[in-house]
Amino acid sequence: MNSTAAVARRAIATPALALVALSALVVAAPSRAAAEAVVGSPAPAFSLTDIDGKPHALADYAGKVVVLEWVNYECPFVRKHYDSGNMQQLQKSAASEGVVWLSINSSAPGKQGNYPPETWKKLVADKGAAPAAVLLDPDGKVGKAYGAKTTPHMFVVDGRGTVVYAGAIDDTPSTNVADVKTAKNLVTAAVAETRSGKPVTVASAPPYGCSVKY
Amino acid sequence: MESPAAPKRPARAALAAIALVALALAGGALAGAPASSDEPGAAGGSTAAAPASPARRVAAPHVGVELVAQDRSAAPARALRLGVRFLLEPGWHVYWKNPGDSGLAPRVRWKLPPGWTGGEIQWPVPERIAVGPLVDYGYSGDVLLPASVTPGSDAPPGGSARVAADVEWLVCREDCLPGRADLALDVPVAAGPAEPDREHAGAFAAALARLPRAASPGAITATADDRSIRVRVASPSAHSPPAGEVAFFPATPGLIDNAAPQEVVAGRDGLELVLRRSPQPQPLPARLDGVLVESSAGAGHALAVDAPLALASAPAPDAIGSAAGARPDVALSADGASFAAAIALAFAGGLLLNLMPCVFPVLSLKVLDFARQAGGDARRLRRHGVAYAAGIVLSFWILAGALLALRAAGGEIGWGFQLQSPAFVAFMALLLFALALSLLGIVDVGVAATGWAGRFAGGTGLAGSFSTGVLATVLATPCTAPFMGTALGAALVLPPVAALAVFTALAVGMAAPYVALAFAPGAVARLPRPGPWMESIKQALAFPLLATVIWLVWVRAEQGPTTAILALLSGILLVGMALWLVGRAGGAARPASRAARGAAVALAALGLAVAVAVPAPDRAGAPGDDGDALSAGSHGDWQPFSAARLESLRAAGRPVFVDFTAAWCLTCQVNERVALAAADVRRAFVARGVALLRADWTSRDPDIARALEGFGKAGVPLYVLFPSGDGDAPPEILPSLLTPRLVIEALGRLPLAGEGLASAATASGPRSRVP
Repeated sequence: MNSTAAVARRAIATPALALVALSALVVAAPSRAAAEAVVGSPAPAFSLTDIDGKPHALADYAGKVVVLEWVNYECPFVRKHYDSGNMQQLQKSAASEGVVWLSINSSAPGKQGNYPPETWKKLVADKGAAPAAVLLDPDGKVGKAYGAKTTPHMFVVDGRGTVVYAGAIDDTPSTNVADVKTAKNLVTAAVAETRSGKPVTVASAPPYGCSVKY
Repeated sequence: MESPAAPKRPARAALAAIALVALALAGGALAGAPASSDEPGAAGGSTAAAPASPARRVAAPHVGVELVAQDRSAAPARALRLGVRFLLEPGWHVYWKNPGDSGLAPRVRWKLPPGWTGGEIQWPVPERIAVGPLVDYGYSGDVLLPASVTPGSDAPPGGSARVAADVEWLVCREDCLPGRADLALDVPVAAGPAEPDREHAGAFAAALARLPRAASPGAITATADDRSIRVRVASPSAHSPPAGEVAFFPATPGLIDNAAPQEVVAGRDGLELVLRRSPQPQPLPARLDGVLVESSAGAGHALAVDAPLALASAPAPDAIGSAAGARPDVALSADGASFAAAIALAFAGGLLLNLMPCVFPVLSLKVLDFARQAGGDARRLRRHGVAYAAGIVLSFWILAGALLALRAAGGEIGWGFQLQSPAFVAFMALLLFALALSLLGIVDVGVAATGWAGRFAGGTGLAGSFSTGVLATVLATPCTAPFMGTALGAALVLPPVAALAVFTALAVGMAAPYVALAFAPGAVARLPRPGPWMESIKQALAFPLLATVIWLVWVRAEQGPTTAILALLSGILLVGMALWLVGRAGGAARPASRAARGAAVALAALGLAVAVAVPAPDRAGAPGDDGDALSAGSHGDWQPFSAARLESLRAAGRPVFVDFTAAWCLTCQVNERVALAAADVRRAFVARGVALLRADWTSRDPDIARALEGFGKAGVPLYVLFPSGDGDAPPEILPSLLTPRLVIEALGRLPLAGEGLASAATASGPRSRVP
């Protein structure tokens, strides 16, 4: 009798093992592909704070074409576009067309490109950058959700929230300022085609730049 | 006569000479000043407009760059190997021709005398450089990039030619600095044999040894489908998995997901590397260009890959799914009547699960405990019954949730996926062994664990019944009852809510007997009174558990190298020792001493570590590889399944029978032995000229998982009979429980061998594929 009760108790008293076994099932899971914002799929939702402390969500801009620019002012590839005034020009023409241009920085604290908001505001003013907002993603969640690999890494999202372009800003990977003039800007082309309702001819190109400092 | 002043003149001349030389050296050093400032973005360089003094070497931040020649002189029309050498500070790297996820490859632009031709850089094999979640390809330390230049045939011998290179690079540790330098070398042009420059011989030798060598023609083939690129390397000696690491470095940026693990599958005739493609839309190149590296114990060899990139003849699920009808149809048919069938099958499967040797002992003990409480409060018994059922249902929900979540995240898994993990199989074997030992009375855990057992046994004990339900579910996971596999396979292609309903039906079926007992009026009174017989029953129930352990050891043996059996059995031994220790050190009255318990825990942990230590190779060889003569269908007749093989057999006009099976699938094993191995069935296969393919899903296999999905199934068993011909006739899916007559009847619906082949021979035109 007692031993049966003990046995029953024993059988009952191994829920810890049961939990471990159940978690072993999860361990048995195969590896998953890293997340990425794939052309033709819905753009991952996000909600980030900008350098003025205001929150921005992708959903806020439903109905508009959105350009996401992963930025790090100290990266030579980004500097190529800012020192030449190219990026600022793109941002201004975007604004004039009603396209929402968001610069996003995913540098982790302590890494290159991560600044307090005050420094950001000063840098943005110094460079004359004109995005609709500069969003801060220091824990890298949005960067990783989009699969942002480099700075610059560009994504264009149409009014319905679908990614229509993902990848390099232009077709000439280099750090030479002179290349900006001769390169074909793939973001401009994608935005123009999307706004006129046409399918984007070059929907992706391998991004080039410095690594995002997660 | 020497005047006293005379000796000073040579000294003064010497001093003057020294001063001149020092000035010249200083001037040379100034000309070779650092190439770039610290300012990122400044394309600094030594002055490009200084043709007078060539700078062969330049010191830039974190890297020194040098232009070197292998030979001391060049001869007309004879290639001269040059090298651009990077000497990097520790932690800093430059990039390969495909830099990977970030970075920029170095670029060399030659400025050569007229008549000279410059060659491309020959890139040594790079390293994988991980930068957070990204992967780049590049070089660290000391790397020399060889390139050849060839003087014109009319280059005047006896002269000296200025060979210059405009080198641009990006050097990074985590942050990056671009750099640029103009390097130049004065090379004497002389006819006559080449004389190596000994100063750089070592660097050149190392660089040349690091170049990938050409593969024999046809040894490497590559196919691509939507998700992956498979690189197959034929190797005559391959049968065992490669000793070390195998990695592919693509020359085309953006083609593959650089950070994704590259799965290696070792097969009989070589190995296959599965690369995950970048999910972004990109035109596939016509050729796969890159480097395949196999390295073990520091040494490695690298093959240059330049193979035509063929599209997989139709991605596996489409080829099979299209023959079965477009996939949406298969999925849609899984609603309505099929859903009800799935629920019914799941319930039946759950009932049968109670009889499986993994679950039966625990359930029986619960019933015994129930009997012990005979005469107790009926309402209390009912509550216990409900608690037990709740434990089972909740555990199944957790399992279902995990399964659905993993599938949603892209994992190609089906029911039984947990058994494809050798670690899980080993763990379950140890757990069941431990339970069996405790049933046999080796260890009286009840006393030893008074503390926490008391919590459950005291008071209402409802938590105890709940926990028993959870435990029963855990124990059920290695065992797949008949009907269960089919039901769950169907469930996993249903929408999540419907799938959860099927799992709930399974859980309810499993809980049903005990709940029925708890609610049955008077059932309690009819149970035998407690007595010594309970001890015998308890001990006897250890044996079904031990039988399950044996079965799990067999499954593990099927999955992995034979050393895995040694490891698992050793782990079992250690766990046995651990339990014995606690049992002996403790006794009827007192719990085991802390030291004994500690030692037992350590032994058990060691046992677990040893048991799971041996990983399985990625795909076991064809089933029955070990020459098991009893294996179904005489494995000589059965070929391993692959989508390509299926296509080619069908294209040759043969009917094909595909057996999707797994070592851990009891129903599959029974079917194979009862039906597929039966003599008359085998005769019928031969008479119809049926080709036999076996898809062994014992270990993880994304191909087979996809093929199963193509039929709207997510688990085994699955039996598909493809008629010969051009694929217009749909394949027949046989039931999950086979009998020899069933198979023969299905084969009877095929044309006889002669007719089939004749009709295939007269078929004309390409087969149309339903996309």
